[in-house]
Amino acid sequence: MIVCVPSRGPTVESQMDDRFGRAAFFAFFNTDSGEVHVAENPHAGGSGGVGPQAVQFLVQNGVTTLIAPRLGGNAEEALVASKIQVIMQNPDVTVVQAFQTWKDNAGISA
Amino acid sequence: MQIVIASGKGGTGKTTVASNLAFVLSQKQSITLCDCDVEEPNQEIFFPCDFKVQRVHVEVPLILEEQCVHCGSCGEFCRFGALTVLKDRVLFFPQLCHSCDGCFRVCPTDALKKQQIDVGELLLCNPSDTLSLIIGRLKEGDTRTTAVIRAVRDMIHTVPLVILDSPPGTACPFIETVDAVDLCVLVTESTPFGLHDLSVAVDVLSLLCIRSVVVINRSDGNDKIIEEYCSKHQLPILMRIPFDFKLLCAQNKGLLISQEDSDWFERFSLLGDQILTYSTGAL
Repeated sequence: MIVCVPSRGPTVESQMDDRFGRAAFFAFFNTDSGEVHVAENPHAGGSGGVGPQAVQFLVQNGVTTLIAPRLGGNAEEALVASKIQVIMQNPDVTVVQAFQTWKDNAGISA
Repeated sequence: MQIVIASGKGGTGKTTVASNLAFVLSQKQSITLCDCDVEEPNQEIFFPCDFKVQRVHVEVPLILEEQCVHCGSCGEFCRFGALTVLKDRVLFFPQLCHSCDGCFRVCPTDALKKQQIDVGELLLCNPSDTLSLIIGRLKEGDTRTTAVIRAVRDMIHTVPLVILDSPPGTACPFIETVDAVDLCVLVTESTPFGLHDLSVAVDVLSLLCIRSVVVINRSDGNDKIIEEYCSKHQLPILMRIPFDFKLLCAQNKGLLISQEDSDWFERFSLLGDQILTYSTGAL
């Protein structure tokens, strides 16, 4: 499975972003292969519709689980339809800390 | 000839000027008055009429899932985020769609069908043989202001002389109203707020390469704040309309001051002639 964490910076040591649609970067953790990469959010500067566009970006990257800060209405609607599992996380942690917390609790649904 | 009456700051007197100008000019020639302030049109207050109603529509996509192969092309193309392509279906967010038509063009399997959405109406009438009125009115709660303004402007391509009452501000509705017109008359007031919003409007018009002139409304004789700005930017001040309770009372009753008072008729007649002269580029 592929777990996504919004990030303020280009590495997993960066702080988790407190936004979803306008997050600066997205970190992707592949729990099967162990592969990790951080990509720039292509729609971060958009004036509108960034929530659905971010969901589309996640779907294109095969995301199954999103560790999320607060979510806007359109983003929430798109996420529910996409069947991506959403785990709420206070963004006062680093990206890798957020992933680790989820991993440690894996199997407990939020 | 298309002449816009605008302001920048709201409440300076666009509708007062536009309605009286239209009335006065219609005494000598055929003229059309458009109300492009489609979120809150008010010209019908001054020209009560039996209006003919014409609906205004925009086109949005309807997704035909049986034909969709979920290639993602429409979602990639849409810069407004209105289409989200998931693994097994496509989500459409109507409130984000700008009806640009792009998604229909990029879909490889004809899976998007054009669907009409009602966004407002045009109210049409002829208060006299020489005066025609076109009022745009956006549906309450809808956000597609520019679509209704475009519908108003689509009605006047071949009309010889048109006055357009603009929305306030300098955002998309103003730009949709003023784009490619012959002249913009900026109605302002001699206050710091009036000056500030006037200067923003002037900057926008300059970027759009549209000629502008200024009318100072509610003048108390002390208009230095505007005069200095206009002098610096070489903007002609066509008239200082004095602050006048008789005018306020008449307009607030829904009457046209130029129809009630011969002095005011003369004043607006003079303003009208000057505007026509400036709009031909003669000055």
